[in-house]
Amino acid sequence: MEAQKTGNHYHQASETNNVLKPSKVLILMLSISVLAAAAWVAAQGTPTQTPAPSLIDNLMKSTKLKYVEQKDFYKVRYTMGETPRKHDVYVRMVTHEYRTLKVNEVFGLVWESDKAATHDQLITIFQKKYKMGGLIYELPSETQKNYRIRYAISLPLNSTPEIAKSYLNMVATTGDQLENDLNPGKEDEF
Amino acid sequence: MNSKMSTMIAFAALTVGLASNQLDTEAKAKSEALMSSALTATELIFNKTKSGLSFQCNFDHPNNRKRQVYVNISDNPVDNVRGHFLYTNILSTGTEPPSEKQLLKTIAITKKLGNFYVYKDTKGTWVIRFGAHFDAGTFSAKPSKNDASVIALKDTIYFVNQVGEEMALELEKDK
Repeated sequence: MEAQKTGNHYHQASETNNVLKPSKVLILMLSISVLAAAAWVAAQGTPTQTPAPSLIDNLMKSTKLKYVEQKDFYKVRYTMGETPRKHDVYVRMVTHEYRTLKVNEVFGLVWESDKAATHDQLITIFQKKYKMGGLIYELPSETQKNYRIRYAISLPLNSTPEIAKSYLNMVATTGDQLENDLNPGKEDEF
Repeated sequence: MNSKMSTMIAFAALTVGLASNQLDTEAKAKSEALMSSALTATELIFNKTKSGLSFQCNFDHPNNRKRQVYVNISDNPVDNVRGHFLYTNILSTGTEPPSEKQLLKTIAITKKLGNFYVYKDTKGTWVIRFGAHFDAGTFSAKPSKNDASVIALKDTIYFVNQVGEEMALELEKDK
């Protein structure tokens, strides 16, 4: 779900050609002074309005995981046990809804190439089944130029922080294992 | 190591093995019972498949089309998540694996939840499937109709059914 926007609305005053009398000018100046003073006092005690945090934002904060916000994603970097390997897990900020379901995609990249995967490779790779989640093949697009495979799980937005962490952990461990399997002999990339 | 010690170790290993099997059986029975009562609470009509591996929900679609959504009886616990897999068959391609075109029309599509994959059964028949997971850890001990988790299970089944039917129609156009 997108964060609610609480933008202010500005009304531009209409211009007039009326000539003001001195008494009216005095009253007007006094009124402006009072209003300006009131506005100054109010501003001292009123915090700047910011968009309300989204539910996914609240959930991410509640996990206590260290993450950075990167475009439309939260990125969590995992280091894999005692090894020097790492795996980046992304949580999509946008929440997908279907009837009562509200989910955010959690994923990790497991394969990337400037050449398309062969038919045989795709058949082999997409036969694998997982305890949770599955694979998606990405074709080159406007936002990225390569062929990619990502391992993804749908995280229910109403999850507890512990469950959310479990989902992210699963993506990190399974994703890193898949990266290792699908890119034999290659450096740790994702 | 003397023979008495070996016998004791072997007996202990056997006992542990039996206990482990018993725990597995009990866990599976519990998992099945919980999913069965949750499905009952959804008020969807379902039955157990002949293989005994899944519950099957049947859906009718226009033009007398039928679709089945299968809910795995056993869960696959990881950490504190107890995922049951739900799936539907999209397209059978016989003894030949799906073509590249058929594959790209499915595995390269992102849905709100779930994913497409390829399955080859024991008879050598290839099928493109769509599936999603559901965490049974969200159920109460006695699931009831108005529980958010029961409604979510029903909606996940509806989603798998809907995506399955839409994609099946799409792929059948190319036949």
